[in-house]
Amino acid sequence: MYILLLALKMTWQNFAAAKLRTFLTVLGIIIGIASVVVVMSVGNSAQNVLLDQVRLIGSNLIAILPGASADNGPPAIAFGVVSTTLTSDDIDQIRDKNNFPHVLYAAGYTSTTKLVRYRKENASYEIQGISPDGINVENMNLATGRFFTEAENTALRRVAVIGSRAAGELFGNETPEGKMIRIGKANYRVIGTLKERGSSFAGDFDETVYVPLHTAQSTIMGINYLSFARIRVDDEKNIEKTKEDIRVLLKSRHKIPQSEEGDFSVRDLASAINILSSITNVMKYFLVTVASIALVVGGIGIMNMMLITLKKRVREIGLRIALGARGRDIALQFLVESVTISVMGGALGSLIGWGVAELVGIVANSRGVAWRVTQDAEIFVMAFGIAGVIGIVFGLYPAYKAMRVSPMEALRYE
Amino acid sequence: MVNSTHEKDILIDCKNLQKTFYTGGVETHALRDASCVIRRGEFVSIMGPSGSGKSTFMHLLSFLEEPTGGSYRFDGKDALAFDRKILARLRNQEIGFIFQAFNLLSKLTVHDNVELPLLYDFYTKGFSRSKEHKKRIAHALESVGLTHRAEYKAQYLSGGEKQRVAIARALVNNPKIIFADEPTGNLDSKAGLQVMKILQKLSADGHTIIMVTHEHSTARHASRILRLRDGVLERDEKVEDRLFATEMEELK
Ligand SMILES: Nc1ncnc2c1ncn2[C@@H]1O[C@H](COP(=O)(O)OP(=O)(O)OP(=O)(O)O)[C@@H](O)[C@H]1O
Ligand SMILES: [Mg+2]
Repeated sequence: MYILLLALKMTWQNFAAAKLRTFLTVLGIIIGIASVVVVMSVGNSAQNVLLDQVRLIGSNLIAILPGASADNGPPAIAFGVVSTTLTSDDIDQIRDKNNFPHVLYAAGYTSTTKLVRYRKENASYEIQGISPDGINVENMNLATGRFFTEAENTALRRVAVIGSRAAGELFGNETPEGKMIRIGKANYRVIGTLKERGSSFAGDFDETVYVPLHTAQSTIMGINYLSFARIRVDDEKNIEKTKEDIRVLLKSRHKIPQSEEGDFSVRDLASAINILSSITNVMKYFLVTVASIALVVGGIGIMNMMLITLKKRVREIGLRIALGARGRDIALQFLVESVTISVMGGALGSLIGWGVAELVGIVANSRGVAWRVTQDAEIFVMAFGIAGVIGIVFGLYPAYKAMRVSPMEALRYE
Repeated sequence: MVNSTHEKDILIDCKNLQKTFYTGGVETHALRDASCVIRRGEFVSIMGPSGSGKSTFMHLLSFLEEPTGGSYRFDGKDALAFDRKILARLRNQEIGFIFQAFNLLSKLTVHDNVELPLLYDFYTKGFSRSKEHKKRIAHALESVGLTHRAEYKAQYLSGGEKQRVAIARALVNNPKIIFADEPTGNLDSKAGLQVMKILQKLSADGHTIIMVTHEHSTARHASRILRLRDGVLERDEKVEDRLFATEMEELK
């Protein structure tokens, strides 16, 4: 304990003598640790945002994406392939209780972005054509009015239900129900508004305008296929079986032999989240690896500085040994010094990393992403741990060299 | 006195000590043959022309370097068998060094410089340790007449004062033996005499002192002179006309 205090005291004296050099040396550590903290913190926040999404939407959801793709790989659309094979007839079959006892609701979707106008107000909104079942699939809640019916869908009625923020922006204090808005080239009657729902990686629900699926397909987009479909089943444990039944059904409807791959993929939200999580995890550890390189560079800087220190103080060290300092006293002094530099760098880096992570949160929130900044204590414990380990690892060699200094050095270089 | 056979009086007993340096394929026989016995309380000067091996001899006796031949017993024990741990203890507890270049840590105060060996005193145990250390520092500073300079930074002292600080540092652990290599080499004659006076006082108090010098007048302050020539210990003589630095003016 006493030796440690002694070493700390000397460390302090030496730093005071070489402030700038010490700072430059720890720069690598500061950058490295700051990167680690940012990456870990932002990564964790991102994962939490994803988990929030699962909680928001529910885990008993199945999605059907058109186009062949591995069920856990990126969807076909990601490669620019627009597939037209999935239709609302497919979804009607899935809604059949006799063949799909576990399916509660099934909805087809198609979406685009269009200019929406109400009197003088106009802005670009996401227009989503959605089956009447969609309100239940999505767990949407009405603030006012009602959602459209199957009859309105079949009859291609031009009615719309609008998200909370879109309603506010277009109508201000007016009551939206019964009012006519213009979407593209046609007028639509607003029949309901939704409660605030927040945004997700898939888009901002509150800035979406919903119209009946068939109306959207024929009037707005002029297509007869779906962008995707979502199905809510009664229980998470029936997801796998239902997914398999859907595959069998769709292959036979699309005239694809059962032994071959389908022209669609069936996924569930939980596994989608897992995929996203694993992607962010891979990113996280990739970036941590990059940061580690900065840390190794920082560590080498520390080692270099300690070797320079050794060279500059070799006479003093020789003197101390001549006066009775043991090898371990000298080695400890060097280790304390390298660890102190490194941990100081770690502290500064953590602080910077923390600030940057908070900033990311502020920017994300200002962009409407429901981002919660997660500053787990473990991240900082880890950051300090890493800094300490680097101080020790890269301090060992200089410390070893220092303890082997001969007391004769006190007499040289005169 | 030289022929006394009292075993436990003997502090240093070396026979045919040798030191050969090999640098760049060249052999230098710095010390070829040195045998002597030094008893406790003696004040010995080592003399000889430049390059005769005086410093080398002292480095061997003070464990700063290992001999390449011969035998050396220190305080009744085989010194060539001392390991690093024993050496650290010896350096801290039983040996004091005074260097020609003073070797103070210039950024530290006089007090802190004198304290330096005590920082590595892992051998004095108990509650009274720090009290005891304080007492020793005060006593050491007093012995060299520098109590009033205790809080000065070492770099602002004169050469003579620096060497007196170095002496205080050498004796703060109350060592058995003090080694001094040209302690007056960087001082003018007045400051040199002050140093000699202190060394003679220490000698009178019972410390063993081994001092390297090439000045005859300085050497004559000791009680005995060992003369080296070309690495061989040629002569070993008692100082008949010993000089005493006592009539010097009081230290300030
Ligand atoms: N580390 C070393 N490596 C090689 N040769 C050395 C070394 N140290 C001393 N010598 C040589 O050994 C011889 C004796 O040196 P030493 O320093 O003992 O002489 P000295 O009597 O103290 O001389 P001076 O009065 O000039 O201090 C010299 O020739 C010197 O060059
Ligand atoms: Mg010499």
